[in-house]
Amino acid sequence: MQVLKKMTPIHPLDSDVIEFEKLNFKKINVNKVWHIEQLIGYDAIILDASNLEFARYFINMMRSHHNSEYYLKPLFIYKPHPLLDIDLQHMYDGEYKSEKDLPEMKQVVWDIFLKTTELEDVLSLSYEAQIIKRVLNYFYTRSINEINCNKSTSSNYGYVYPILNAILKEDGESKGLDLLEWAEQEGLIAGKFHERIYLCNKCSGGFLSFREVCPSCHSSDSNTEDLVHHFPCAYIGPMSDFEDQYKNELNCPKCNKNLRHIGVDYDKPSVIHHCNQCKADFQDLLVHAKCICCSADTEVQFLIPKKLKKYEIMKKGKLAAISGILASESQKSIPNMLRFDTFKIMLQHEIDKVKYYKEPVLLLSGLSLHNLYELQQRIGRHAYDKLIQDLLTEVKNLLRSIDLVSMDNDDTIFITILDTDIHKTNSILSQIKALITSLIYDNFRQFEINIKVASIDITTDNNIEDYIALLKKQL
Amino acid sequence: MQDYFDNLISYIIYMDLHRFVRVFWFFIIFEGARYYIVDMFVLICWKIKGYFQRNDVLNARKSLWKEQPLISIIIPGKNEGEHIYKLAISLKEQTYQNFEIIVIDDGSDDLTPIIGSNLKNLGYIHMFIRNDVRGGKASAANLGMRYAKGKYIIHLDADCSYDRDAIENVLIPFYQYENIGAVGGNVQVRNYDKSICTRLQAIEYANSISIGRIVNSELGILRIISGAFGAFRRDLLDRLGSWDIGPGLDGDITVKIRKLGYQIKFAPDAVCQTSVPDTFTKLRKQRLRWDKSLIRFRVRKHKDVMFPNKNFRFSNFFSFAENITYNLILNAKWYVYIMDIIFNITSMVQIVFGLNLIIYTISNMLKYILFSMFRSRKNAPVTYFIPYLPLMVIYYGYFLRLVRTTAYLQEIFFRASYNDSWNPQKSSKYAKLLRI
Repeated sequence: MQVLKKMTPIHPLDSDVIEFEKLNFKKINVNKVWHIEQLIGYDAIILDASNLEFARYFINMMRSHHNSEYYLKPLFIYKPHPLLDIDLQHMYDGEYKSEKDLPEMKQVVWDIFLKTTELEDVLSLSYEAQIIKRVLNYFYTRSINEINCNKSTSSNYGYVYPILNAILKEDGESKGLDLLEWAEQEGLIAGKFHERIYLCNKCSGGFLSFREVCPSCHSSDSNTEDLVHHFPCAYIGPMSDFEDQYKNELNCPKCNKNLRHIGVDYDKPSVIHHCNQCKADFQDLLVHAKCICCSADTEVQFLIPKKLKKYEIMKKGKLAAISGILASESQKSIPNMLRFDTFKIMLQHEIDKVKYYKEPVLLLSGLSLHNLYELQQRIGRHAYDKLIQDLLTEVKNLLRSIDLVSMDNDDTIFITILDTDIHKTNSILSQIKALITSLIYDNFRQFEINIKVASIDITTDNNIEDYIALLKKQL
Repeated sequence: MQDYFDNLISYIIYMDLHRFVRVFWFFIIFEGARYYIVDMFVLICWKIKGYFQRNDVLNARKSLWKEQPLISIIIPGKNEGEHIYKLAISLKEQTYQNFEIIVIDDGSDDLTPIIGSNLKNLGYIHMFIRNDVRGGKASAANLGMRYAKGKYIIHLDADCSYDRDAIENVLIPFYQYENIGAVGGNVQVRNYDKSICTRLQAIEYANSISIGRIVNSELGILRIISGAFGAFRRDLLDRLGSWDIGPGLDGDITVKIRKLGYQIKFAPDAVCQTSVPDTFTKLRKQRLRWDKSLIRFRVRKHKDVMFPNKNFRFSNFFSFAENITYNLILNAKWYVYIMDIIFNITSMVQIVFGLNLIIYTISNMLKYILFSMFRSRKNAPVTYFIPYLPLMVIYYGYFLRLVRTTAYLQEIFFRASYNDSWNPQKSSKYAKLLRI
């Protein structure tokens, strides 16, 4: 990974730069006009955090940047606002109070630099892997082993996971929970239950107002009254039936007798609610949750329950930060479909057969669905998995049962069509491409999928990984 | 045994009219005259009248459908959850649909609250009200009444089911006749094939409800509307404060409506089917409760009906007099009859009882077969019950009579109905204190 190694400022006349032992610290405050690109070349940033909104905005913007030059850059805060809350914990690397802090800050910066040099750039991983890799990168460079969630009013669902929420921004914050679940399944992190939350089923917001509402009109404007049973005459009705406003007494409307002693001549066997809007009388109030964000009014049973966990980064996770998330770790398991590692074993078997019998034709084809991850962002992980499953089923329907099909986490479909020449294979691949394009276009509001198709001959003595790498290069 | 039958046959062969009247005076003077001759006469008149009034029924039906009033169906009960679903389904099948169903759970300690709430959420019933503390059937019905919005109130029992046109038919008399305060439905036995006990009750219901109430309705002396199926004018229930503490609240409310000057009608084609006790022990318990109400309500609470006062009505007097005469006085008289036979015709006791059995069986068969022609809706073929008719002599003549006597004595001397666990003590003690 490329690291900021420039030890001399590229803006030598910049008065907002503090130089200390060949490191330059750029000071940022709200009054200066700046662009993110202006941060390049500085070893670390000192942010004037006296303006809370600006500090929050700047930190999130920096940490959510896709370029590691920005999201991994050491950041210190200066004059922190007292309300700079806990949700930004772990998003900066320390506090700068005076020049006395510079030696300590220098050490932090160097530690981060050293750790950053260990990281490898691994491109074209799946969407989940890309996001999780950035999170793992950040925590690895800071030598932090835990991913904690903190309460925060700035988050759509009331909690934030440092870095992850910043990357996903408001629109997709709640998808972060799915991503963490995925990373846990892959063994990169290990979760421990922290809290259960319920999210709006429309916008995944966690700020909900729970109200008891009328089951008929869903209004929360209702009165509750005790039901009163007068023993001697068996009359039973709401308390208001018995109330004598003038005498301040309780009198039975049926027999006009005065109610004297609860448990002796009357009791209150139940309560009843009266809706002031639709005038309905009922006993079972519905509990609705009104989303503060999108105003959706939902029955609580339809809210989305989620478990919040605190995560520990496992050895495998640290390794993934350094060398990337391996294909097998991010392997998708699709029902009725070959796992990618099984596909590779079977392909190897076919290659061996080709070599042994000197058979002329064996093609490895691939279809790379380049912008499929955009759909995942839109529809969520579960719907995305279902989509992949449906697409692969359709693809399989176009092939014979002996042909091999699988998919890696890079959204690339691998196909080996046995005993078929290149022309016929190309024709089948075109059909598959057209089918996928039209299926996605028709089902996802005219989403245009970008598919690249390629095939390679398997004739040389390369191993299976080389063939796959070669094919992916062409895609 | 051979000698006994020889003697019995020779007694029958040589019996003259004088001897017959001497031995069967009770049957000839009281039961035969009332339950055979009068009933048959009234039924024939009713049939003829029905033919001439057929257009009135059609017009009443048209008026009902033109107005389509909202009906409130009240179903009070405790631990009736398992029945409520079936009942709600049978009500969904009704030809008349402009009704609201109000189920009142009177302190159930089973799954009734969950079932009721689910049925409400699924839209099978319109309102489900639960009392955590049991208050008794009257208070549960009154609670339903408090929230009812309909022009007519129909009171149902949860363990009953109803013919598709039952609701429609029970409403017709309100549109056919003037001054109708309430209409009773026809209750038949659903579990008639479960045991001898239920078969005998099915025959009893066919006689005393399906036929007996047609006769009483025609004579203008109908004095009870079954809690299982009755329709009431809502304004009258409001005036009366609805139901008072039971047991026997269904008879009580009917009398209260009669006292207001309104007629009570019976709708034989508004059919409800109910499950009756399947053992004689359970039946005894039920009838002890029912029979006590004659003393409690007719003889005590509503005794004013029997005396001249400003609200005196001859029809009410006649209704009560008939009820008290045939159920209370003749019940006592029957023991006089038995003593008469035992002490005055001692040598012939065995022969007379054998003959009694034959006479009653023949008369029961004749009555059942003849009266069946007047029952348009039967729960089973007439022939199904014929083999059991000889047992009716024992069942009706001895078993029920003994139960009735016990109930009367318990109520007369001990006011036992106020201690019946059917109603919670917290209410019953006030009813006893206030003599209601």
